[in-house]
Amino acid sequence: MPILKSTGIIFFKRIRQLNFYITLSLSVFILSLNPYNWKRTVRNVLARQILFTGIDAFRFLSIVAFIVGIIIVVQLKLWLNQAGQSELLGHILVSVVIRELAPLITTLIIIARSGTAIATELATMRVEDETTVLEAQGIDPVKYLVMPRMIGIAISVFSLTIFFIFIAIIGGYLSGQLIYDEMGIPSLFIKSILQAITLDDIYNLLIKTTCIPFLIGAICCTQGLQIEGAITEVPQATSKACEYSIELLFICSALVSIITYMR
Amino acid sequence: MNNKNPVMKIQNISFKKHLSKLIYKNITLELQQGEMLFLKMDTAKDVSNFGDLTSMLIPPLDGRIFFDGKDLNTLPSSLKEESRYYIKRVFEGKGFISNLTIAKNIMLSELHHTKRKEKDIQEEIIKLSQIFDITDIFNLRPFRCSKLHLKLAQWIRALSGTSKLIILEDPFTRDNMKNQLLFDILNEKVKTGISVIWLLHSMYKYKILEAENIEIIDFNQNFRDLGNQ
Repeated sequence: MPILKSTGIIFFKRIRQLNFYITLSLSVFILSLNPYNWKRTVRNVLARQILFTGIDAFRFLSIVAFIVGIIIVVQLKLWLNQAGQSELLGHILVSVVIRELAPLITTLIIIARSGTAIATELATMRVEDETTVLEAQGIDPVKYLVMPRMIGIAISVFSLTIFFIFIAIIGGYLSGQLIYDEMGIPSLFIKSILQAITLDDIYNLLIKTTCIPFLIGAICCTQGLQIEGAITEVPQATSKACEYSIELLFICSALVSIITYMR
Repeated sequence: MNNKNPVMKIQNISFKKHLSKLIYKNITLELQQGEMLFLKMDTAKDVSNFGDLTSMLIPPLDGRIFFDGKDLNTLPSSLKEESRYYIKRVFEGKGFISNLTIAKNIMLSELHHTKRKEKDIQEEIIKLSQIFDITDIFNLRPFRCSKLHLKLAQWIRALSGTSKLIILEDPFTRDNMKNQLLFDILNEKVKTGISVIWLLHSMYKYKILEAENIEIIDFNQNFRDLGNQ
Protein backbone atom coordinates (compact mmCIF):
# COMPACT_ATOMS: atom_id res chain seq x y z
CA MET A 1 0.00 0.00 0.00
CA PRO A 2 2.73 2.57 0.78
CA ILE A 3 4.13 1.95 -2.74
CA LEU A 4 0.71 2.60 -4.25
CA LYS A 5 0.31 5.72 -2.12
CA SER A 6 3.69 7.16 -3.08
CA THR A 7 3.09 6.33 -6.76
CA GLY A 8 -0.22 8.17 -6.55
CA ILE A 9 1.42 11.17 -4.89
CA ILE A 10 4.12 11.32 -7.58
CA PHE A 11 1.52 10.91 -10.34
CA PHE A 12 -0.67 13.76 -9.07
CA LYS A 13 2.39 15.94 -8.45
CA ARG A 14 3.43 15.42 -12.07
CA ILE A 15 -0.09 16.20 -13.30
CA ARG A 16 -0.07 19.45 -11.30
CA GLN A 17 3.37 20.31 -12.72
CA LEU A 18 2.22 19.57 -16.26
CA ASN A 19 -0.83 21.73 -15.68
CA PHE A 20 1.45 24.56 -14.52
CA TYR A 21 3.76 24.24 -17.54
CA ILE A 22 0.82 24.19 -19.96
CA THR A 23 -0.67 27.28 -18.28
CA LEU A 24 2.69 29.08 -18.40
CA SER A 25 3.16 28.12 -22.05
CA LEU A 26 -0.29 29.44 -22.96
CA SER A 27 0.33 32.68 -21.05
CA VAL A 28 3.69 33.18 -22.75
CA PHE A 29 2.16 32.37 -26.13
CA ILE A 30 -0.56 34.99 -25.56
CA LEU A 31 2.09 37.50 -24.41
CA SER A 32 4.10 36.82 -27.56
CA LEU A 33 1.13 37.72 -29.78
CA ASN A 34 1.27 41.33 -28.57
CA PRO A 35 3.81 43.27 -30.69
CA TYR A 36 4.25 45.75 -27.78
CA ASN A 37 6.05 42.98 -25.85
CA TRP A 38 8.59 42.52 -28.65
CA LYS A 39 10.82 45.45 -27.76
CA ARG A 40 14.26 45.58 -29.36
CA THR A 41 15.97 44.20 -26.25
CA VAL A 42 13.62 41.20 -26.29
CA ARG A 43 14.17 40.70 -30.02
CA ASN A 44 17.93 40.67 -29.33
CA VAL A 45 17.49 37.92 -26.73
CA LEU A 46 15.42 35.92 -29.24
CA ALA A 47 18.09 36.32 -31.92
CA ARG A 48 20.81 35.18 -29.51
CA GLN A 49 18.69 32.20 -28.44
CA ILE A 50 18.14 31.11 -32.04
CA LEU A 51 21.86 31.54 -32.73
CA PHE A 52 22.82 29.45 -29.73
CA THR A 53 20.08 26.81 -29.93
CA GLY A 54 19.56 26.59 -33.66
CA ILE A 55 22.61 27.69 -35.62
CA ASP A 56 25.34 26.59 -33.20
CA ALA A 57 23.78 23.12 -32.88
CA PHE A 58 23.55 22.61 -36.64
CA ARG A 59 26.96 20.99 -37.16
CA PHE A 60 26.52 18.44 -34.38
CA LEU A 61 22.95 17.70 -35.41
CA SER A 62 24.01 17.18 -39.04
CA ILE A 63 26.53 14.52 -38.03
CA VAL A 64 23.94 12.72 -35.89
CA ALA A 65 21.30 12.95 -38.66
CA PHE A 66 23.69 11.60 -41.29
CA ILE A 67 24.64 8.62 -39.12
CA VAL A 68 21.00 7.94 -38.20
CA GLY A 69 20.13 7.95 -41.91
CA ILE A 70 22.90 5.42 -42.63
CA ILE A 71 21.89 3.13 -39.75
CA ILE A 72 18.21 3.11 -40.68
CA VAL A 73 18.67 2.52 -44.40
CA VAL A 74 21.26 -0.23 -43.83
CA GLN A 75 18.91 -2.05 -41.46
CA LEU A 76 15.79 -1.48 -43.53
CA LYS A 77 17.44 -2.59 -46.75
CA LEU A 78 18.72 -5.73 -45.06
CA TRP A 79 15.31 -6.78 -43.71
CA LEU A 80 13.18 -5.54 -46.58
CA ASN A 81 15.36 -7.36 -49.12
CA GLN A 82 14.97 -10.57 -47.17
CA ALA A 83 11.21 -10.06 -47.10
CA GLY A 84 11.19 -9.08 -50.76
CA GLN A 85 9.54 -5.74 -49.94
CA SER A 86 12.26 -3.25 -50.86
CA GLU A 87 9.71 -0.90 -52.48
CA LEU A 88 8.44 -0.12 -48.95
CA LEU A 89 11.68 1.66 -48.06
CA GLY A 90 10.21 5.14 -48.64
CA HIS A 91 7.15 4.43 -46.50
CA ILE A 92 9.11 2.98 -43.62
CA LEU A 93 11.70 5.76 -43.80
CA VAL A 94 8.89 8.28 -43.50
CA SER A 95 7.40 6.37 -40.58
CA VAL A 96 10.65 6.08 -38.72
CA VAL A 97 12.48 9.32 -39.49
CA ILE A 98 9.84 11.93 -40.21
CA ARG A 99 7.20 10.73 -37.77
CA GLU A 100 9.32 9.72 -34.80
CA LEU A 101 13.11 9.88 -34.86
CA ALA A 102 13.76 13.33 -36.31
CA PRO A 103 11.62 15.27 -33.80
CA LEU A 104 12.66 13.02 -30.92
CA ILE A 105 16.43 13.12 -31.51
CA THR A 106 16.44 16.84 -32.39
CA THR A 107 14.53 17.73 -29.23
CA LEU A 108 16.77 15.47 -27.14
CA ILE A 109 19.86 17.22 -28.50
CA ILE A 110 18.32 20.62 -27.78
CA ILE A 111 17.42 19.60 -24.22
CA ALA A 112 20.97 18.43 -23.59
CA ARG A 113 22.57 21.42 -25.28
CA SER A 114 20.29 24.39 -24.67
CA GLY A 115 17.64 23.34 -22.14
CA THR A 116 20.24 22.67 -19.49
CA ALA A 117 22.13 25.84 -20.43
CA ILE A 118 18.95 27.91 -20.05
CA ALA A 119 18.15 26.37 -16.65
CA THR A 120 21.72 26.99 -15.44
CA GLU A 121 21.84 30.54 -16.77
CA LEU A 122 18.51 31.55 -15.25
CA ALA A 123 19.27 29.82 -11.95
CA THR A 124 22.58 31.69 -11.73
CA MET A 125 20.76 34.93 -12.49
CA ARG A 126 18.41 34.19 -9.59
CA VAL A 127 21.33 33.49 -7.26
CA GLU A 128 22.97 36.77 -8.28
CA ASP A 129 19.64 38.60 -7.86
CA GLU A 130 19.81 39.76 -11.47
CA THR A 131 16.07 39.31 -11.97
CA THR A 132 15.54 42.01 -9.33
CA VAL A 133 17.91 44.27 -11.26
CA LEU A 134 15.78 43.74 -14.37
CA GLU A 135 12.52 44.37 -12.51
CA ALA A 136 13.92 47.50 -10.89
CA GLN A 137 14.58 48.85 -14.38
CA GLY A 138 10.99 48.13 -15.39
CA ILE A 139 11.87 45.03 -17.40
CA ASP A 140 9.58 42.07 -16.80
CA PRO A 141 11.73 38.89 -16.47
CA VAL A 142 8.97 36.79 -18.07
CA LYS A 143 8.89 38.99 -21.17
CA TYR A 144 12.64 39.53 -21.31
CA LEU A 145 14.04 36.17 -20.18
CA VAL A 146 11.34 33.51 -20.58
CA MET A 147 9.34 34.50 -23.69
CA PRO A 148 12.25 34.82 -26.17
CA ARG A 149 13.86 31.64 -24.87
CA MET A 150 10.71 29.56 -25.25
CA ILE A 151 9.98 30.95 -28.72
CA GLY A 152 13.66 30.56 -29.67
CA ILE A 153 13.65 26.90 -28.67
CA ALA A 154 10.45 26.21 -30.63
CA ILE A 155 11.75 27.95 -33.78
CA SER A 156 15.12 26.19 -33.49
CA VAL A 157 13.69 22.71 -32.93
CA PHE A 158 11.28 23.12 -35.85
CA SER A 159 14.03 24.29 -38.23
CA LEU A 160 16.58 21.75 -37.03
CA THR A 161 14.09 18.89 -37.40
CA ILE A 162 13.51 19.81 -41.06
CA PHE A 163 17.30 19.82 -41.58
CA PHE A 164 17.58 16.54 -39.67
CA ILE A 165 15.07 14.89 -42.03
CA PHE A 166 16.88 16.14 -45.16
CA ILE A 167 20.31 15.12 -43.91
CA ALA A 168 19.12 11.72 -42.65
CA ILE A 169 17.49 11.00 -46.01
CA ILE A 170 20.64 12.09 -47.88
CA GLY A 171 22.77 9.93 -45.54
CA GLY A 172 20.40 7.00 -46.02
CA TYR A 173 20.38 7.33 -49.79
CA LEU A 174 24.16 7.66 -50.09
CA SER A 175 24.86 4.72 -47.78
CA GLY A 176 22.28 2.54 -49.56
CA GLN A 177 23.77 3.44 -52.88
CA LEU A 178 27.34 2.78 -51.72
CA ILE A 179 26.62 -0.46 -49.87
CA TYR A 180 23.86 -2.08 -51.93
CA ASP A 181 24.01 -0.09 -55.15
CA GLU A 182 20.28 -0.49 -55.62
CA MET A 183 18.70 2.72 -54.37
CA GLY A 184 17.79 3.84 -57.87
CA ILE A 185 18.00 7.37 -59.15
CA PRO A 186 17.64 10.08 -56.49
CA SER A 187 14.44 11.51 -57.97
CA LEU A 188 12.66 8.15 -57.66
CA PHE A 189 13.86 7.75 -54.09
CA ILE A 190 12.63 11.23 -53.17
CA LYS A 191 9.36 10.60 -55.02
CA SER A 192 8.74 7.42 -53.02
CA ILE A 193 9.31 9.36 -49.81
CA LEU A 194 7.09 12.26 -50.84
CA GLN A 195 4.32 9.85 -51.82
CA ALA A 196 4.49 8.27 -48.39
CA ILE A 197 4.01 11.58 -46.54
CA THR A 198 0.42 12.22 -45.47
CA LEU A 199 -1.31 15.25 -43.99
CA ASP A 200 -1.29 13.49 -40.62
CA ASP A 201 2.53 13.31 -40.81
CA ILE A 202 2.69 17.06 -41.23
CA TYR A 203 0.34 17.73 -38.27
CA ASN A 204 2.29 15.23 -36.19
CA LEU A 205 5.60 16.87 -37.10
CA LEU A 206 4.29 20.38 -36.45
CA ILE A 207 2.99 19.51 -32.98
CA LYS A 208 6.11 17.60 -32.03
CA THR A 209 8.48 20.32 -33.21
CA THR A 210 6.66 23.38 -31.92
CA CYS A 211 4.31 22.62 -29.00
CA ILE A 212 6.54 20.10 -27.22
CA PRO A 213 9.73 22.26 -27.47
CA PHE A 214 7.67 25.24 -26.26
CA LEU A 215 6.67 23.23 -23.18
CA ILE A 216 10.27 22.13 -22.70
CA GLY A 217 11.32 25.79 -22.81
CA ALA A 218 8.75 26.47 -20.08
CA ILE A 219 10.17 23.63 -17.94
CA CYS A 220 13.79 24.78 -18.29
CA CYS A 221 12.97 28.44 -17.60
CA THR A 222 10.77 27.57 -14.61
CA GLN A 223 13.32 25.22 -13.07
CA GLY A 224 15.97 27.92 -13.43
CA LEU A 225 13.90 30.77 -12.06
CA GLN A 226 12.23 29.00 -9.17
CA ILE A 227 15.35 28.39 -7.07
CA GLU A 228 15.52 30.19 -3.76
CA GLY A 229 18.98 31.66 -4.03
CA ALA A 230 21.74 29.24 -2.97
CA ILE A 231 24.43 28.42 -5.52
CA THR A 232 24.17 24.72 -4.62
CA GLU A 233 20.65 24.71 -6.06
CA VAL A 234 21.90 25.55 -9.55
CA PRO A 235 23.06 22.03 -10.56
CA GLN A 236 19.90 20.59 -8.98
CA ALA A 237 17.76 22.92 -11.08
CA THR A 238 19.69 21.92 -14.20
CA SER A 239 19.32 18.20 -13.64
CA LYS A 240 15.63 18.56 -12.76
CA ALA A 241 15.06 20.59 -15.93
CA CYS A 242 16.79 17.89 -17.97
CA GLU A 243 14.90 15.05 -16.29
CA TYR A 244 11.45 16.65 -16.54
CA SER A 245 12.05 17.75 -20.13
CA ILE A 246 13.05 14.27 -21.30
CA GLU A 247 10.13 12.75 -19.41
CA LEU A 248 7.70 15.18 -21.01
CA LEU A 249 9.27 14.72 -24.44
CA PHE A 250 8.76 10.95 -24.44
CA ILE A 251 5.28 11.03 -22.90
CA CYS A 252 3.99 13.79 -25.19
CA SER A 253 5.61 12.28 -28.30
CA ALA A 254 3.93 8.97 -27.58
CA LEU A 255 0.59 10.67 -26.92
CA VAL A 256 0.78 12.73 -30.12
CA SER A 257 1.64 9.60 -32.15
CA ILE A 258 -1.20 7.65 -30.58
CA ILE A 259 -3.72 10.45 -31.19
CA THR A 260 -2.50 11.03 -34.77
CA TYR A 261 -2.10 7.48 -36.05
CA MET A 262 -4.37 5.27 -33.93
CA ARG A 263 -7.60 6.95 -35.00
CA MET B 1 3.69 78.92 -2.27
CA ASN B 2 5.10 75.56 -3.27
CA ASN B 3 4.35 74.78 -6.93
CA LYS B 4 6.35 71.57 -6.96
CA ASN B 5 4.66 68.17 -7.16
CA PRO B 6 5.58 65.28 -4.90
CA VAL B 7 7.57 62.73 -6.89
CA MET B 8 7.45 60.13 -4.17
CA LYS B 9 5.01 59.95 -1.31
CA ILE B 10 5.43 57.25 1.30
CA GLN B 11 2.34 56.97 3.50
CA ASN B 12 2.47 55.15 6.82
CA ILE B 13 4.43 52.19 5.55
CA SER B 14 5.92 49.50 7.75
CA PHE B 15 8.50 46.94 6.81
CA LYS B 16 10.44 44.24 8.56
CA LYS B 17 14.16 44.48 9.11
CA HIS B 18 16.07 41.65 7.46
CA LEU B 19 16.57 38.58 9.74
CA SER B 20 15.13 40.37 12.74
CA LYS B 21 11.85 40.87 14.57
CA LEU B 22 12.39 44.61 14.40
CA ILE B 23 9.85 46.46 12.36
CA TYR B 24 10.17 49.95 10.95
CA LYS B 25 6.79 51.58 11.44
CA ASN B 26 4.77 54.64 10.39
CA ILE B 27 7.26 55.77 7.79
CA THR B 28 5.82 58.86 6.15
CA LEU B 29 8.05 60.75 3.78
CA GLU B 30 7.40 63.10 0.92
CA LEU B 31 9.89 64.01 -1.75
CA GLN B 32 9.16 67.01 -3.96
CA GLN B 33 10.45 67.57 -7.48
CA GLY B 34 14.08 68.65 -7.33
CA GLU B 35 14.61 67.61 -3.73
CA MET B 36 17.24 65.42 -2.10
CA LEU B 37 16.50 63.15 0.84
CA PHE B 38 19.22 61.54 2.94
CA LEU B 39 18.42 58.46 5.02
CA LYS B 40 20.90 56.62 7.20
CA MET B 41 20.12 52.93 7.49
CA ASP B 42 21.47 50.31 9.88
CA THR B 43 22.75 47.68 7.49
CA ALA B 44 23.47 47.18 3.81
CA LYS B 45 20.49 44.82 3.62
CA ASP B 46 18.20 47.55 5.00
CA VAL B 47 19.47 49.83 2.28
CA SER B 48 18.64 47.39 -0.52
CA ASN B 49 15.33 46.44 1.12
CA PHE B 50 14.22 50.04 1.31
CA GLY B 51 15.37 50.53 -2.30
CA ASP B 52 13.23 47.55 -3.35
CA LEU B 53 10.34 48.87 -1.29
CA THR B 54 10.37 52.32 -2.90
CA SER B 55 10.51 50.73 -6.37
CA MET B 56 7.62 48.46 -5.29
CA LEU B 57 9.59 45.30 -5.88
CA ILE B 58 8.63 44.13 -2.41
CA PRO B 59 5.36 45.15 -0.80
CA PRO B 60 5.35 46.93 2.57
CA LEU B 61 3.69 45.25 5.54
CA ASP B 62 1.38 48.22 5.67
CA GLY B 63 0.79 51.60 4.01
CA ARG B 64 1.01 52.97 0.48
CA ILE B 65 3.69 54.34 -1.83
CA PHE B 66 2.95 56.87 -4.55
CA PHE B 67 5.29 57.65 -7.40
CA ASP B 68 4.44 60.62 -9.58
CA GLY B 69 0.94 60.66 -8.09
CA LYS B 70 0.24 57.00 -8.84
CA ASP B 71 -0.06 54.21 -6.31
CA LEU B 72 2.48 51.76 -7.67
CA ASN B 73 0.82 48.83 -5.96
CA THR B 74 -2.47 49.27 -7.79
CA LEU B 75 -1.01 50.00 -11.23
CA PRO B 76 -1.29 47.36 -13.98
CA SER B 77 2.03 45.67 -14.64
CA SER B 78 2.76 47.45 -17.93
CA LEU B 79 2.30 50.88 -16.32
CA LYS B 80 4.31 49.77 -13.30
CA GLU B 81 7.16 48.81 -15.62
CA GLU B 82 6.89 52.15 -17.39
CA SER B 83 6.98 54.00 -14.05
CA ARG B 84 10.05 52.09 -12.95
CA TYR B 85 11.91 53.32 -16.03
CA TYR B 86 11.80 56.81 -14.49
CA ILE B 87 13.26 55.54 -11.21
CA LYS B 88 17.01 55.08 -11.67
CA ARG B 89 18.89 53.14 -9.05
CA VAL B 90 22.45 52.67 -7.95
CA PHE B 91 22.17 49.27 -6.31
CA GLU B 92 23.85 48.37 -3.07
CA GLY B 93 25.10 45.14 -4.67
CA LYS B 94 26.48 44.41 -8.13
CA GLY B 95 23.42 45.50 -10.05
CA PHE B 96 24.36 44.07 -13.45
CA ILE B 97 23.29 41.25 -15.75
CA SER B 98 26.31 38.98 -16.00
CA ASN B 99 25.86 37.84 -19.60
CA LEU B 100 25.80 41.39 -20.96
CA THR B 101 28.76 43.72 -21.34
CA ILE B 102 28.93 46.83 -19.15
CA ALA B 103 27.87 48.99 -22.11
CA LYS B 104 24.86 46.78 -22.87
CA ASN B 105 23.95 46.78 -19.19
CA ILE B 106 24.05 50.55 -18.99
CA MET B 107 21.99 50.92 -22.17
CA LEU B 108 19.52 48.12 -21.40
CA SER B 109 16.76 50.21 -19.82
CA GLU B 110 17.00 52.95 -22.46
CA LEU B 111 16.94 50.42 -25.29
CA HIS B 112 14.00 48.63 -23.70
CA HIS B 113 11.76 51.56 -22.86
CA THR B 114 12.58 54.19 -25.46
CA LYS B 115 12.90 54.43 -29.21
CA ARG B 116 16.14 56.42 -28.97
CA LYS B 117 18.81 55.43 -31.46
CA GLU B 118 21.46 53.16 -30.00
CA LYS B 119 24.13 55.52 -31.28
CA ASP B 120 22.65 58.46 -29.34
CA ILE B 121 22.48 56.44 -26.12
CA GLN B 122 26.07 55.32 -26.65
CA GLU B 123 27.21 58.92 -27.15
CA GLU B 124 25.52 59.94 -23.90
CA ILE B 125 27.13 57.18 -21.86
CA ILE B 126 30.53 57.78 -23.45
CA LYS B 127 30.33 61.44 -22.38
CA LEU B 128 29.49 60.41 -18.81
CA SER B 129 32.14 57.71 -18.77
CA GLN B 130 34.76 60.25 -19.83
CA ILE B 131 33.82 62.35 -16.82
CA PHE B 132 34.34 59.37 -14.50
CA ASP B 133 37.25 58.00 -16.55
CA ILE B 134 36.02 54.44 -17.16
CA THR B 135 35.74 54.18 -20.95
CA ASP B 136 38.02 51.12 -21.06
CA ILE B 137 35.57 48.76 -19.32
CA PHE B 138 32.63 49.12 -21.69
CA ASN B 139 33.20 45.93 -23.63
CA LEU B 140 33.93 43.82 -20.56
CA ARG B 141 31.50 41.56 -18.76
CA PRO B 142 30.76 42.60 -15.14
CA PHE B 143 32.78 39.74 -13.60
CA ARG B 144 35.94 41.16 -15.19
CA CYS B 145 35.50 44.57 -13.55
CA SER B 146 36.60 45.81 -10.14
CA LYS B 147 34.06 46.86 -7.51
CA LEU B 148 35.02 50.50 -8.05
CA HIS B 149 34.44 50.27 -11.79
CA LEU B 150 31.11 48.50 -11.30
CA LYS B 151 29.96 51.26 -8.96
CA LEU B 152 31.04 53.95 -11.41
CA ALA B 153 29.22 52.12 -14.22
CA GLN B 154 26.12 52.11 -12.03
CA TRP B 155 26.46 55.87 -11.55
CA ILE B 156 26.55 56.31 -15.33
CA ARG B 157 23.45 54.16 -15.73
CA ALA B 158 21.60 56.17 -13.07
CA LEU B 159 22.61 59.49 -14.60
CA SER B 160 21.83 58.64 -18.21
CA GLY B 161 18.45 58.78 -19.92
CA THR B 162 15.30 60.36 -18.57
CA SER B 163 14.55 60.09 -14.89
CA LYS B 164 12.28 61.60 -12.27
CA LEU B 165 13.81 59.95 -9.26
CA ILE B 166 17.28 58.59 -8.56
CA ILE B 167 17.67 56.17 -5.65
CA LEU B 168 21.27 55.85 -4.51
CA GLU B 169 21.95 52.84 -2.31
CA ASP B 170 25.22 53.48 -0.52
CA PRO B 171 26.62 54.97 -3.74
CA PHE B 172 29.99 56.36 -2.73
CA THR B 173 33.31 54.68 -3.40
CA ARG B 174 36.67 55.08 -1.69
CA ASP B 175 37.67 57.56 -4.38
CA ASN B 176 36.69 60.92 -2.88
CA MET B 177 37.38 62.89 -6.03
CA LYS B 178 34.93 60.79 -7.97
CA ASN B 179 32.44 60.97 -5.08
CA GLN B 180 32.62 64.77 -5.19
CA LEU B 181 32.08 64.63 -8.95
CA LEU B 182 28.96 62.51 -8.50
CA PHE B 183 27.66 64.83 -5.80
CA ASP B 184 28.16 67.88 -8.05
CA ILE B 185 26.47 66.23 -11.04
CA LEU B 186 23.54 65.19 -8.86
CA ASN B 187 23.21 68.75 -7.58
CA GLU B 188 22.94 69.88 -11.19
CA LYS B 189 20.31 67.20 -11.86
CA VAL B 190 18.32 68.33 -8.83
CA LYS B 191 18.22 71.86 -10.23
CA THR B 192 16.50 70.45 -13.36
CA GLY B 193 13.71 68.94 -11.20
CA ILE B 194 15.01 65.42 -10.63
CA SER B 195 14.63 64.11 -7.07
CA VAL B 196 17.24 62.02 -5.30
CA ILE B 197 17.00 59.62 -2.37
CA TRP B 198 20.30 58.77 -0.71
CA LEU B 199 20.22 55.59 1.31
CA LEU B 200 23.40 55.56 3.34
CA HIS B 201 25.04 52.85 5.35
CA SER B 202 28.86 53.02 5.49
CA MET B 203 29.06 56.52 6.92
CA TYR B 204 32.87 56.74 6.77
CA LYS B 205 32.52 57.31 3.01
CA TYR B 206 30.30 60.34 3.42
CA LYS B 207 32.69 63.07 4.57
CA ILE B 208 31.55 65.16 1.59
CA LEU B 209 28.01 65.21 2.93
CA GLU B 210 29.23 66.19 6.39
CA ALA B 211 31.22 69.04 4.88
CA GLU B 212 28.11 70.23 3.03
CA ASN B 213 26.21 70.29 6.33
CA ILE B 214 23.47 68.08 5.02
CA GLU B 215 20.68 66.85 7.28
CA ILE B 216 20.64 63.07 7.36
CA ILE B 217 17.58 61.31 8.77
CA ASP B 218 18.50 58.38 10.98
CA PHE B 219 16.08 55.69 9.92
CA ASN B 220 16.59 53.55 12.98
CA GLN B 221 15.93 56.38 15.42
CA ASN B 222 12.92 57.78 13.62
CA PHE B 223 11.00 54.76 12.47
CA ARG B 224 11.93 51.87 14.72
CA ASP B 225 8.90 50.22 16.31
CA LEU B 226 9.93 50.17 19.96
CA GLY B 227 7.11 47.84 20.94
CA ASN B 228 8.32 45.06 18.67
CA GLN B 229 11.91 44.31 19.56
